[in-house]
Order: sequence, then structure tokens, then C-alpha cells
Amino acid sequence: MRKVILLLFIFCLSCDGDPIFSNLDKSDIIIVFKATYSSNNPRNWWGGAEPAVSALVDDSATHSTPKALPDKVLIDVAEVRVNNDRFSIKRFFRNAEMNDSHELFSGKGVTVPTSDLFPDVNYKKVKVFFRKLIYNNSLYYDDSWEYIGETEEKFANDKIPGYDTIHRLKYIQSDYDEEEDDAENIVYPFVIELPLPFRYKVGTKTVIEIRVNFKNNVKYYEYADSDEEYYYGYYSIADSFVNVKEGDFFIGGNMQGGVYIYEPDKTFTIKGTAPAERYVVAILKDDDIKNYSGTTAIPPLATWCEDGTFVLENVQAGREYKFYYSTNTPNSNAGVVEGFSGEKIVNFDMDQVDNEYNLQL
Amino acid sequence: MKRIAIIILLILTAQDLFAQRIRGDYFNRPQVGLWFGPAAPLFEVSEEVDSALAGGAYAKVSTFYNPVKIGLDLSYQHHLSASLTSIKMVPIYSTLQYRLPFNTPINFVVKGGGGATRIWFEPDMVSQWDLTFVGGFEVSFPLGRWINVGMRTDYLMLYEKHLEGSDLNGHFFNVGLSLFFNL
Repeated sequence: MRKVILLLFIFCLSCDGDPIFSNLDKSDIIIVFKATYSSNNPRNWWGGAEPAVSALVDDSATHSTPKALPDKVLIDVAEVRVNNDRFSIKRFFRNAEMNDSHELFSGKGVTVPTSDLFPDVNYKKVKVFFRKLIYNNSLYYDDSWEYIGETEEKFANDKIPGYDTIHRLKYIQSDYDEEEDDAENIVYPFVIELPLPFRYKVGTKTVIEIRVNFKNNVKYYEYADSDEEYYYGYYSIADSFVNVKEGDFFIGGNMQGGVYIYEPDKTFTIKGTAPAERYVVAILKDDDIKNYSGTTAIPPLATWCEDGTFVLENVQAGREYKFYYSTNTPNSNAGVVEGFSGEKIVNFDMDQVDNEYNLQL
Repeated sequence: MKRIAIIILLILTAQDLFAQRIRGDYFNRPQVGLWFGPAAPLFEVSEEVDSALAGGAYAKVSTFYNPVKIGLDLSYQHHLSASLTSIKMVPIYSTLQYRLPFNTPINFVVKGGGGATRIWFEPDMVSQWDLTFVGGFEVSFPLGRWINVGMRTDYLMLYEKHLEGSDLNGHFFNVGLSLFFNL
């Protein structure tokens, strides 16, 4: 036994390695959450000019007219997972002014801490668990659609003006069986497929940029339930993909999302020209642009080209990209980006890091 | 301070009390045992990983000085968290154990020592040996000639501050019910 203890003592003196306890709360991965279609330089709110209030009223709303455009939205996220791994459990929320300088809408994004990921796993999807989505200037009425006042919601032991529509963003499929309750809940979690599987390399600084399009993607709906005391007129995500009809409780199937994963130490900027008032997008060479035309998927890289020149940031060197511009100018209230043209394939080697690249589309 | 020094001196020199216990005292035999119980991370570590159930095995042998034994411990604990972070540990350490000179059937033992801990950190899949220091206290009660039951508390410090880039050590507090045998 004494020999064992002596050996143990000698062994202990040679202990070496990494500082595990100092690194417990550190991670090489961060999430950057953006509420825009674009990864940088997003289009201005309302396309740069506020629309008339009536322009946001959905054709399913036939009894009421909103008093004003929404100017605040509360986005509340409980956690984010990749596949089913709970790597970001710190809740984050923003009660954001709907202007172009707020981090959610400016292209900067909200930074969210995470733990690291397992290195030997192919990650194929990101799941965003939304808790609340509250637009202000939503209204409530009596059962004869006489205006009563602005709705309020409980939040953080307080009341804030607005109407929480998160429980309505459920996508009821056409073959929905009420007894089976097989409706697809697309907000808890909202599932975003990755364009290509992602594998984390330990010790590599990595940004997982999650974009869910709330900017320029708003409509006004109504809901009247004869069992309830009040009727409601409220703002939520525009029904660009699944049409909302009069009397519908659920308005889901319309959330647009995308994920772009990159190593921030290996990026550079592209400057170039493209037709004005179009989106410029980039996808990985093995991806197909059809996946992003008129669908709820957002391309990995996108920017708004207002005047014929564009800047595309955080392009990662060592990858081959395909570049396009959108062929239509989407509606500034509830736009769907569809139709892409001008494909250019460029292979960027590592010498490109920290440099700029010029591209004409 | 002076009072404490006198008390310690009295305890260490209380050979007469031990002399009365030597006959029929099974404490002096080699002992092997098992323990299990909760293991809690302390300080900053407790903010990152949760408490867990731990368990282990140990052996003790006597020394030339009657109230002192040498112990060898091996245990396992797996601390999970709400996220992907988790720590698995297998501490292996040796302790000097001193039985306090109370003339009762219950044994009160204080101990201190050191060793190494094999530690696995997920999700980064890092594994290594960490230098480990231990202090603790045990209470045990003999159930006949062969069997003892008891309770033990151990404080473990996994020393990492000597590593480059480190500013934290790992601290854990284990409490266990133990069953051990006189050989």
C-alpha cells in the first residue's frame, strides 16, 4: 500500500493539461440573433417610407382598422438548440423599437452566450424556442366590434402594451386531425434546417448567426371568438406563405428563418455592384438557390442593394460561394424574396482573409 | 488561539485514553469499505454544473502510531448541467486519518491528504489528471466484530491554478453513507 501511495504522489507531481474549471463558463461559440432577412445592411423599415396604416391590414380582417402602425415588438426566446443539444439555455429578449438602428434590425444582431458543442456530431438543424412575440398598437373590441382600447400583456411581472401572438403561430396542416392534435408547432421550437451539416472543431471560434425575419414582415389580423368577452385586432407575422382567412385562430407557417455558420477569424468583405433595390445573396456552392426562392428559408448571406452598390460582410475564406441578386423588388411590408439571377461562382482561398473583394453581378 | 493550541496538544498526547481502547478495538485492523451520497460543486463551479450522486471504495491500514491510519480512496462522480457542459471525475487519493480520542463506541476521524483526479470535460471531450487535495471528517459505529457503518464528509480541491491560463480551482463537497469491514 505504501508503494501505491508513493507512486500516486510521484504521478501527481506530473499532472498537466488544460484549465478545465476556468473554461467551464467560456465557449468558442456565440449565437448572433438577427430579426432581418439580411445578414448585414438590411433594407430600411417599410422600405424607407412609412406606409398608410391600412396597407398592413390583411384581407382576412374585415371589421376593424388599426389606429397606428406598430412601433415596438417584444421578441422573447427561451433557448436555442442544435439538433436536440441544449447548448444555449440563457433566455434572451428585446422589447425593441421598430427602427433601423436597433441591434435586432440594423444587421448587428443580439449576441447570446452558449456552451461548446460536441466535436464528432453532424448538426443538421437549429431550434429556436420562442416564448413571446408581442407587437404594440394591437386593439380589443366588444362583441359588436366597438373599439375599447389597446391590449396589454403580462411580461416580467409587469404589463406592456401589445398582443402576444406566439400561441397563434401554429401551422395547421390541411390533413389536421383534431383528435391527434398533429398540428405542427413552428414556434416552440421554430426549426431551421442548415444548408449543409455542421461539425464543430474544438477550440475554433465560431459564430452561429440565426436570422428570423420580423423586419418588413408585419400584418394586421382580427380574431373574434363568440365564447370570449372581447374581440381582437392585432399585429403579427405577415401571411406571405400560408394565407390567413377570416376567422382563423392559427396564422402559422409564415416564419422565415436561416442560419449562417462561420469562423470570424477567417472572414472578409465583398463590395460590388448589382441592380438597385434588390437583395444580393450568397449560398454555398453545393447548395441550390431554388431552396430560397419563394420559400421560408433565408439564404446564408444576404444584403439589400438600395442604389446599385452592395457590401456583403462575414464571407468566410476557404469556401466556394454562389452569388445572385433577386429579380423582383419585394413588397416593403410583407415581402417574399423570389426569383434569383446573375449567378457567379467564386472560390475564396485563405489569402482573402481581412481583405476586400470586388464583385459585379 | 492559545486555547486552541492547548486543546490540540491535549488531544495529541492523550495516549492513556487510547491505551484503554486497544483491547478489542477493531479500528486497528485493516479495513475496506464502500460509500455513496451526494456530491456538490462549490463556489464558481456550482454555477456551471449540478450536484450529483457519487460513490466509491476505500481501504485503510494502521500505522505504527495507534490513532493514525492511512487510507486509499477511489470514487466516481458525474456532474451534469442544464446545458451540454458536464464533468466526470474519478478521484484517487491517499489520506492520513486521525481518530479523535473520545472514549465512546463511536469513532470520530479527521483526515487530510492528496492524490489525483481523472477528469473528463464535455462537450469539448477534454480529459486529464488534476492534482487533488482532500480534507474530511468521518463518524462510524461498529456493528459487531466485522462491520461498521458511518457517515463521511470530504472536501476535494482539484488544483489547476498552476496551469497556464487558469484562474480557478475545482472545489467539491461530498457527503456519504459508508459501510466498511474489519479484515
